[in-house]
Amino acid sequence: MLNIKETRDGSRLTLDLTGRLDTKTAPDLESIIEKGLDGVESLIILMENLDYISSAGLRVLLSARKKMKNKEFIIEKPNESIMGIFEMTGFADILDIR
Amino acid sequence: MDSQFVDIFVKMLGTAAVILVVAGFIAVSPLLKQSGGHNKWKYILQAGLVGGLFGIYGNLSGTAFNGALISVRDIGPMLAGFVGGPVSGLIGGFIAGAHRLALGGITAPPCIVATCIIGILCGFISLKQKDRLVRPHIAFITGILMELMHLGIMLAMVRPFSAGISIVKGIAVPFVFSNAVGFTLMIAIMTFIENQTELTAEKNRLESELAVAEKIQRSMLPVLNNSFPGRKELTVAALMEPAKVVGGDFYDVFFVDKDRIAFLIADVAGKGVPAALFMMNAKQILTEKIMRSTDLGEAISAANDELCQRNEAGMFVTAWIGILDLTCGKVEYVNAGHNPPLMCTGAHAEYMITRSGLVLAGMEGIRYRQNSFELKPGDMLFLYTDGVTEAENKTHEQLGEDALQELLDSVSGSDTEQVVAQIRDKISEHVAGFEQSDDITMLCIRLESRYGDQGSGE
Repeated sequence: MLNIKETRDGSRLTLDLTGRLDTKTAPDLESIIEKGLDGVESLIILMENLDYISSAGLRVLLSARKKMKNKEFIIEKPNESIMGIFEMTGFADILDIR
Repeated sequence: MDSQFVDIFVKMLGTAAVILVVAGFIAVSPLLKQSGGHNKWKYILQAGLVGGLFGIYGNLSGTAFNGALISVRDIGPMLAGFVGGPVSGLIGGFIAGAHRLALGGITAPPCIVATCIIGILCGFISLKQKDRLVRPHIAFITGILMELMHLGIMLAMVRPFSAGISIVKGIAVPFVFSNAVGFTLMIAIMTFIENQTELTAEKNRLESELAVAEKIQRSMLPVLNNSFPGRKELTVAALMEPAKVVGGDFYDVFFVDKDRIAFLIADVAGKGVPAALFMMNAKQILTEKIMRSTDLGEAISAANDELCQRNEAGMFVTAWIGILDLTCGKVEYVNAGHNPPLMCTGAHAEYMITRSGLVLAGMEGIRYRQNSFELKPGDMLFLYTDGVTEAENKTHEQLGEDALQELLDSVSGSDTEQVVAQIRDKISEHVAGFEQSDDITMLCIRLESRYGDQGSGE
């Protein structure tokens, strides 16, 4: 299960993820990335309450990064195991993780 | 409750049951399946007969009312017309009407006129339809219009006119309602059963296509059973078990030149057909670039760029690629976002945790750099995909990296084929029959001796 809380503040969109970002739930996030980024200059994905990310989830992050090219795209507060996955897959080098 | 109502209700249930049986019979029996042109008349006759027989059933199960009959007879000609066309409709209408005529009564003559016209009209309506069966809402509207017309014919033909009026007033609502609803029910059931039959056929066709796809994919992966054809310096074994019929994991082992052998393991994001299609492309490109370049880092960078260019779906693949020099045991490798392999020296297995590059196909223009280490005769490398360490049992406990390491400690004395088999057994033991959620792939390679070494590994 994945719960996505969307907060829009002008051109800034914050997505607060709770639960698991996997094959079953990644399409929910993907549809926001596909449709909801018009006029968004700053995208923040808050992972404080995200427990797990699978390759399907990583795929969505890659497509978000492509959509937000030359704009601000920040991943906030991933837990230790998700950070480990970002490091192992090289995502840590291309994502702005805080 | 009023006993007359109970009677009518019970009777209607019985009629509905007969409608279900007839609809089911028509939907599954080959009798009314249109096949080719030369059986056209046989089909038309059969459709007319089935409709006519249903009409007779309607007559027999009807309720008499002042010389008229409240029955579902008209469903027969409607069915015949819709399934077989105007001629079938006429046959069905005539049979049902003739039987009604034989039963006698003041409304019998208008009935046979009405059933024949209903059959023919429904036949013409069906000719305008693209699908074999009409949609249920069209069946319902048609049913209502046909029955209103039937009442109109009754009024026009029954004399004296006042008798006709009183009959129509008495039967109109149940007559129109029961025929329209009954016919709609019949069409809905037939449509449902035919759709299910088509879905099953489609499913079978997809399954047989997938079975061929599985063969094609399997033939892309070399079969390795603790040996490599023609070489005794190394032993190697591998296994790939997709979670679905086809998968996105792959491995490969091939000689780059006389002394150097490339080996790799890779995991495309996702599983099933999309992953398998991407896997075929990725494997091809990786092999081509590795064979063409003398520098592994450059080869992988070039492969990544090409994969990025053909990546509409935004897929990616993690890969660990090594080239082993059999003359000295040196391994050059690139890790593109893949799980670290285990190095087994004696009875000790250790994860080779090094800094990894980004997954392949993720971003164009990335430079992958190669690193190196040395294998001594007897050393073994164990490569795997996360389907191994993340294999889950029914309480969602994963096998885990520590467990894999301990397992390798205990089996590393075995030959490579046994190592792979024993780890596979342990995975089965851990998941205990729980459904496999990800592709499981392993590649185990051991340097037996260095090329040119005297007698070692013999």
